[in-house]
This record gives sequence, C-alpha cells and structure tokens, in this order.
Amino acid sequence: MSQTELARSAPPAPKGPVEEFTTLAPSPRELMKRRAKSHIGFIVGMSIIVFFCIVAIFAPFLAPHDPYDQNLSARLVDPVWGAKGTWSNIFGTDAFGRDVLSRLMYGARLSLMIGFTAAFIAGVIGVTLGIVGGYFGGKVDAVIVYLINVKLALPVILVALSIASISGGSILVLILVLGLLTWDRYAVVVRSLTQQFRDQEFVLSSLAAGASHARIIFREILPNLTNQIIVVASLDMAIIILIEAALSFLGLGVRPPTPSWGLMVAEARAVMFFKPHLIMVPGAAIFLLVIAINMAGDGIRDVTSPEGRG
Amino acid sequence: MVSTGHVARIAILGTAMTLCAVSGTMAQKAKDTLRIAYLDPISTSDPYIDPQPETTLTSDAVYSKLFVYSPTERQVRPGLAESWTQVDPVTLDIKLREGVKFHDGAEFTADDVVYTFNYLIDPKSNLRFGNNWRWIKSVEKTGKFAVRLVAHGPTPFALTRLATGTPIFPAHLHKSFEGRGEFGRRSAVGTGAYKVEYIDATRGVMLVRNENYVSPGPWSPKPAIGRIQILPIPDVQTQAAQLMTGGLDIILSAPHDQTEQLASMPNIRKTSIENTVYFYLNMDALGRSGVEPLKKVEVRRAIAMAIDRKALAAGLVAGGEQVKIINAPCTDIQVGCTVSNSPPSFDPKAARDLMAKAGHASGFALEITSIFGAHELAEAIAGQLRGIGIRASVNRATMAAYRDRQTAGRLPMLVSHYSSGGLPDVSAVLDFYIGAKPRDYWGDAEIEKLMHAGAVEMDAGKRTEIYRAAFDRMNEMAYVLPIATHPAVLVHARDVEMPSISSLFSGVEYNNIRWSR
Repeated sequence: MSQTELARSAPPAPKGPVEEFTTLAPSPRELMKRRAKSHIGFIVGMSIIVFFCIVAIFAPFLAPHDPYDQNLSARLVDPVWGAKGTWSNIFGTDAFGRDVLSRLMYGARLSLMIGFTAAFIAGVIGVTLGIVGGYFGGKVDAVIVYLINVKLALPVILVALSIASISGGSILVLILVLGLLTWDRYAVVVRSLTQQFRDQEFVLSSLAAGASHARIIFREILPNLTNQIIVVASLDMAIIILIEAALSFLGLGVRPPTPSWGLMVAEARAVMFFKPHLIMVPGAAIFLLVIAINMAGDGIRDVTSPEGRG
Repeated sequence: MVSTGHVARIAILGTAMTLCAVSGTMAQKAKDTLRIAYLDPISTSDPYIDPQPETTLTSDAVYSKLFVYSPTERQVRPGLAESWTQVDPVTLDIKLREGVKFHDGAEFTADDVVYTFNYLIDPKSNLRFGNNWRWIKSVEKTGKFAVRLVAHGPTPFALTRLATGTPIFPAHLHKSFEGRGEFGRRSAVGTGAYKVEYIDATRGVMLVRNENYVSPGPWSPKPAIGRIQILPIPDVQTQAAQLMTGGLDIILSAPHDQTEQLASMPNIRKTSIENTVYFYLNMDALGRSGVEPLKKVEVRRAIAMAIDRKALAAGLVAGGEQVKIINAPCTDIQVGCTVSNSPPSFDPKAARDLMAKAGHASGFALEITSIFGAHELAEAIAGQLRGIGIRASVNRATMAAYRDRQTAGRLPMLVSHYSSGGLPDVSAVLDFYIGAKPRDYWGDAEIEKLMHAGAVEMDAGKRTEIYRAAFDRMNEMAYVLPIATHPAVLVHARDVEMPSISSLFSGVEYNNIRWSR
C-alpha cells in the first residue's frame, strides 16, 4: 500500500474535541469586533465621519479653489447639474462668486473642530464632576448635584445666543460657550456609574490594598467608564455641531467670511427660491454629519455593551 | 411612462395656480387697495417719536409739511405754506394756505404751525432727533394764516429741513394727550393725502384716500389709489412668497439677488428710486479703536485702492442703472454735493506697494462692523481686503450694538449706508460724521472748521465751495470711502406704477403711486 493510499484510507479525526475547542467563548474584544462588523448603523456612521474627517484634514489639498477667493463677475453660478453649470465649480458659486464646494470642505473643518473641541471641554468638566461626586458622595456630591441641576435648568440655545450677542461671535467664544453649556450629560452618566462602581469588589480590594483615591479613580474607575463617555461624547458632538450651525445662521456664531455651514445656509436664504442648491448643499452636509455621529454613537453603545440596548 | 392624463392634470393645476397668482393682483386693483409689506411693524404715525423709515414713509402720507422738496426740480416748493420771504439771514416770514382742513374737519391755521414748532424746540419734548430743529429760536403768529420763524443764526438749510421730516400736527388734538406720544397711535389726524383708518403693530396700517386733500402742485398730487393696506411681515422671504402668489403688491426692501430674480417673473416688476441714501466705508483715522495701522494715511489709501467699487456696485447693490459710483459722501439730490477730486482708484498692486511702504506688507487683522442692509457689501469688502493682506472679519451688528460701539470708540472700520434722514442738503452729511465727539473718528480740525463755516453761509455759491473743500480733504486723507448710491428698489406687481425719484429715503410718496393702465 502506498503512502497516498494510506492517507486516503485513514479514518477522519474525531469531531467532538476539535469542535469544542474552536467554539470556546470568544474574547470580549473578538465579540466587539464581530458586533461592529455586523452593525450596519455603526459602519455607515463611522464611514461618513471618516469621510468628513479626511475632507476636513486634507481640505487645502482637496479643495479646488481658495474658499475666500471671490469673483463678483461670476456670482451665483449654477452647480454642475444646473443649466449653466461647469465642472470648475461643481456646486456652483455663492453670492460673492466663491466656490461652494471649497467652502463646504473648509466648513467641515470648522464644524468638526468646534464639535470635537467643545465636546472635549464639556467632557473634561462633566467627567471630573461626575467622578468626584459619585466617588466621594456626601457633601461633595450634594454640591455637584446642585451644579448639575442648575445647569439642567439653563436653556442652552438661549444662553449661548445671549453670550454670543454680548461678547460678539468668534470661534473661540463659540467653543468655550458650547463646552461650558453641554457638560451635564457627562456628569449625570458618570456620577451614576461611579456610584455603582464604588461599592464593587475591585474597588474595595484596591482600597484594602492601600491604593490612593487618585489611583482608584484613574486606574480602576475611569477605564470602566470609557465606553459610556464615548457614547455621550458622540451625542454631545452632534448637538454642538447643530448649535454652532444655528448660531452662525443667526449671525451670532462664526464671523463671515470664514466658511461655516450655518453661515452658508444663512447667506443662501436671500436666493432660496431661485438657487435652492445653495441652501440644500450645506444643509445636507449638516444633516449627514449629525446623523452619522448619532448612528456611530448608537453603534458604539450596541457594540460595547449590547445589554444596554433599548 | 407619463400618461397624457397626468400631463393634462399638471397643466390644469399650473394654469390654475398662475391664474390665482395673477387674479390676486387683479382683484386688489379692482378693489382699489394697494398692499405693502413692512419689515418692521409700526404702532404710530408720529415720526418725531418713532423716527424709523417705515414711520417716516407712513407719516408722509398722513401729515403735510410747510414745504415740499421736489427732487426732480431740485428745489423747494410750497406745501402748507403758500409763499415765503427771507426777511434777513435769520428771519423767515411764511404765508400759509387757506382752506386746508385736517382729517377731522378742523381748519388748519397758524396756531397749528406755532404749536408744532414750539413742541419741536422744547427740550422737555425729549425727541431723539431734536437737534434737527434746535436752530429755531422762536415762531410767532403774525396772522391767522401767517407765521414768522426766527433762527438763532443764519441757517442756509432751513427750508430743506422744513421740507424734510417736519410734519405739522393739529394743535387741538396733539395737546389733548397727556403723553404726547399717544397722539400718533390713537389719533393720527393730519392734513395729508391719506387718512388713517387704523394703525396697529399687529394688524398693520390701513390708509384711506383723503377726498378733501388739496394738492399744492404737481410735486404733491392728489392720491390715485383709494386704500393702502400696510402689512407687517418681518421676513423678506415671506414677503417674496406673498408677492409671488398675489398676496402683496409691493415689497420695499428685497436683497439685490432676490430683486432681480423676482423681477424676472411675468407678473412682477421693479422700480429703482433715486434718493439721498448711499453706501460708505468709514475708517478710524484717530486710532480710537486701537488699530494703529489705520492712523496712517498710506494704509487708508491702500484700503481704498484695494476696493473695487464698480464691481461691488454692479454685483451687490440693487437698482441697476440708478446705482452710481460716488466720489463724495452725498448724492446728486442733495444741495452742495460737489467734489473736485476722487478717492484713489482701484489698483490692488499699487495698494500692496503702499502697504509695504507703510510697513504693513504682511497686513493686519481688522474687524469690519456692518449694519443691516450693508452686510453683503461688508463681506465682499472683507474678501477684497484679503488681496492686500488684511485679514478682515465682519461683525454684523444690530443698530443698537452699532451705536454702542460707535460711542465707545470700537469701530475701526464701518461699512454702512446713510440717508441724511432724507435731507436734501449736505449739511447733514458733515454733521453725521463729525458733528459730535462720539461720532468723530477723524479728528480733523480743518474739516470741522469747514463744517461750521458751511452751516452758516447763506450765499449758495460760497457754501458749495466750502463743502467742496471739505469733501476734497476727505478724499485726500482717505477718511471715508464713498462707495455708491443706494436707491430704494421696490419690487411690485405689474399693475403698479411709481416715479423713479423721491424725496423720501425709505420708499416713495404714496400719493405718487398709481395703478398702471
């Protein structure tokens, strides 16, 4: 009998043990990967965000024109699908003869930058207050709960409008105002989770081992809050981008001629009956980015803690 | 595939909508009611209490003035005054027209004139623009239909001032109100071409033709339209939608692009009306705002050279051929608007060289403040200034914020428009820029001296030369860049006609509007 025949006639390996081996419970990381790959909302949301981030970061290389370059003799040129549209201005030009696509790209920079920065500032404030209140409890917690209640009672848009109108709109003012007005969600979520963690064994054992409060907060509690913070941050960022657009639309946000989506919508109002694309293009960009961030936020929640769905 | 029936339904729907739109206008013509939209609602007809453009426009229809400035003839004509004599540089004798009646039937006499002027010059009246009449020392009745007006000093613009924004009120009614401001809201009675049926910030205003109106001449004719309904619609886009669908007959202030697009529709027209309004750019040459480069005349000239006024006027200012580039901060309608030189012409390369020579080759950051109506122009100017390295941003200020900043010395650059309050005389112009310290961003003693000299010079020729010297100096020092005239462009239904010139800065006299034949 040849070697080949022997191999052919060899009995198959027993199935049981091998199958048991390959179907061992996957690691949490593996599970997250699997859930992420099968979560359509997460994939679509993240793809759109990544697309906008690439456009924003590489705007100087991707934009066909300088967003500030105006040509008053080529105002309100049709987009490429319009009757007199050309490929040199794909989305046409605005009332000052500036390229709409280029302004849209630079506007993405601004929206994302304001969204990220303000959400970060809000996150730092909210997470700090939430952890301190939840961890230490007592009078410290009472003060922090009072601060959260005060903040929750403030109408965000109204306060932002007032501050912007008093101080005059600028990017720095906008970031600070929005950062200081949207930290309450972080604080509420983080405080309640920290209260739960505080009495759990891993924290108690660290305390018993003589770890300092700072070490427990930074090494034991904070890592367990990361997923929830990311979810809250995604929601917060979407809201901040919308408020920035609204303030710029009302003339109290970003100052012209800086390209901003909200400002682009505001400036297009004068010709909305006749050049509707000038409102629709930046409007669609705001819609897409905000919905993508919301989808990605929902996706992160489902992927990281599916038990929390609903 | 689109069926024939579907196409037919669309065609019928389209025709019905068109007929609705057209019939909307036609129906109002049949009812002899003209519908005009105001952006800002008004609750009074009294321009002394509420001197906003809409109130001024309405009051012109309700009240008459002693004199009427005819912009077509460029001269003062009789109104309630029948004739007048300048006795000496400070004394004016006025003979009033007899047989004129107020809307309530009371007779108009010298008592009403004396009462109105005493009210205007009384500091206790606390009027916002009370300075407009401070030159009047006294008014006395010299007969039932004659008055003598005495000024503190020679006042060459007296007649034009009395022909602009100085309506005569009925003494018997006005003094009957404890709070004088109530008169224009509750008892708007004048001698003008239209009577007030109602006036309310929510409902708007209804004006009805005064059948007893006696026209002083073709410069103020009898009204042709029976009723004028004024609707407060505080959004231009809503006004445009109403006009397109036949819900309105006139829009007073549509943006440039919207005006052009609306006027291209078959049932809509536009009329550009020459007036006293113009666009300008003012610079802080005094350094009040702390922007040091603007103190240098080279920098200010470079800024003027970087701005393409023709392109701005052609692209952004509504009014078509009525829009004129101006070389002095005034318009042709105004007495004394002459200048020998012009601002530096558009030359970006020379402007960059001048910036380098002044030590600002890399430019500087600058905030431009603009007011409503000039925001677009300011943004375009910001774009043009980038060409010489100036990183300009635009602060779109409300009127209140603009005044606060002006007083506080926080206006390094202002892009705005000025109407002179409709006064067809340049005395208002100089006073506007440097008449009071909070307004003065130039600190130029020479121009101030010329302003004071012009204000008391009764000889028209000498006065013109004084103002010419002042305007020449403004251009030399590049304090202000006059940009272009700013005609009132009314977008209206095709059934409406109106003249293309007006003594009002906010529209056109309502008794000059008529239905087209």
